[in-house]
Amino acid sequence: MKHKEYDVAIVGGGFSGLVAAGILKDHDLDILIVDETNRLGGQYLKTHPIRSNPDTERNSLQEIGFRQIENIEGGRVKIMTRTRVLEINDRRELLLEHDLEQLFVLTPEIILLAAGAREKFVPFKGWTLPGVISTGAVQIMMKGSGVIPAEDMIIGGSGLFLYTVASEVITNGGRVSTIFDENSIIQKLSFTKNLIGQGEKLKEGFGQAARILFSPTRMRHRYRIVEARGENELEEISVAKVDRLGAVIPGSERVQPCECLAVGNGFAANIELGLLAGCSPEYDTDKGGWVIAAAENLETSVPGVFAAGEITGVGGAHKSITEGKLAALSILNKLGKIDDFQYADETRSLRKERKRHLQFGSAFNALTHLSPEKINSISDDTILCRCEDITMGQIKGAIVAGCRTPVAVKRAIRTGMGICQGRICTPVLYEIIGGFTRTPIHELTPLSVRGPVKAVPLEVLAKPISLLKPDFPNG
Amino acid sequence: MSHLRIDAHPSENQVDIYINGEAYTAYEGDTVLAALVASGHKSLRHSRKIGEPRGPLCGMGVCYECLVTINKKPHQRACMTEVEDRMEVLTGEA
Repeated sequence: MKHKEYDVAIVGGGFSGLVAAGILKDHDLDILIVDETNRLGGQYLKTHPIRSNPDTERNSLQEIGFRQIENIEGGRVKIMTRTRVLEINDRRELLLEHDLEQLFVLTPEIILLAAGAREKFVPFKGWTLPGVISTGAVQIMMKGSGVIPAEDMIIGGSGLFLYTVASEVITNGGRVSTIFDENSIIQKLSFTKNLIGQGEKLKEGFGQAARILFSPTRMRHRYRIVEARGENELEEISVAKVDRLGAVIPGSERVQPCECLAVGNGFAANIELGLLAGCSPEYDTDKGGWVIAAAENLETSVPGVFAAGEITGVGGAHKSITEGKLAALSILNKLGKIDDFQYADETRSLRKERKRHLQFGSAFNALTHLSPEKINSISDDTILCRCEDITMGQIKGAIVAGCRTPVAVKRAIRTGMGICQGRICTPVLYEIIGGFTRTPIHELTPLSVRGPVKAVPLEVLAKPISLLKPDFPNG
Repeated sequence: MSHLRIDAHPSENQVDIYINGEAYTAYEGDTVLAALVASGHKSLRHSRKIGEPRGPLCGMGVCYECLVTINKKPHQRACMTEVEDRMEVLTGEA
């Protein structure tokens, strides 16, 4: 006899997942939402559980997010945090691992992938030295644990997130001595025209700019970090001027002391679970590189599997909220809970909003685009794949030896075969292979994904697997 | 090294942990990574092939650079684990 299954399983408890769960729960459906971290909210709502005072300093987005969390707690939504999806197959079977203790399997009617994004990096010599961290890590450590990684830091890379993090460090009493931005002021200013008519983002941007301008932080445009040096940890960095296309201007390098360097170059969608489920990917620089292709109703190429938020295109919190709503309504339509007429009516404005957010995203992602000139400036002795200690020179060597696809390079030298399973190196690896073989990136096939998608100790995989059935302690 | 703490209040629940055998007072809700950073630990392990020192990179569970041994269990992501009273953390894995 077939047991009752969850109607919808949502993977990821950030904005899109939360908003979707909030809509779906009022329609007599059994919903499961899983998240890898300790609590719902994704990166945007990450706060210290004890230290944050719920009455102060929440912006309107956080307000929406926290209200959603309260909204779904206690309903017919089963919340599983500290839970990772290890496998999805094209029959919508999910294998979950909870707390490194339990394994569960389920086959929901609908899967909504809302797995978010990760930071993207352009490697440089010495970026593996302790003391070089990501801008995202700085933000998470401050927001989640109330710790600043260093009293004094330098921030480098490209994209607007550099300024977000710098402004937060300053607000928290830390010092950012310099921001080295690869873009020119003109490139950055041309971005701001995309903010016209988007009051909240404009206000946020001006607030950040003001905090940085009124601090002792120096801003240096068209500079790139070319090397990090130190005995066993970071002691100094070398920075160089770059030209309009992103190539390093020879002879412009200069060295300065640095104890903590935060780097970031925009974001890459977490497409791995989608690939595993058999969803077609799509490469689009406007969307931040490889993403999971989704139709206008956010259904992927696999019927019954939907995608929302950063994994359909890097675009920020507003886009994720809009897509969470849109995906929920599309799912309700697919399950026969709302008819086509009501669906068209209720999604009209959302579809319009989504287009606007995608437009904003494309301007945002343009600031972090990896040009061939940037790729060319990575020196041969730079480690690309941190897990397997593989250098740029080894990758170039493999390409010269005839490896013309990501999978060929992977087989030859093991790039992307380490414990992070290629999450850090592949976004830049695809650009390197495309650049040196003169192949448009969209013609390359991203590396296939095999379960378990996240590293799990063998003794956990050896545990018995139980069926996960709908179960609502509070509802 | 309390200067790296943004707003620690004495009223908060303190959590005593041991980092490489040395006592350290963290706060409830801290990640193990934040406790390591706030106590001055930059290098956490060595890379697999060439054995060079490594510290945290992504801070969000993606890069696996912050693997440490927690309560005798090796290869735990410090950034994804919250501190618990009397937790024993060992750095220096290869």
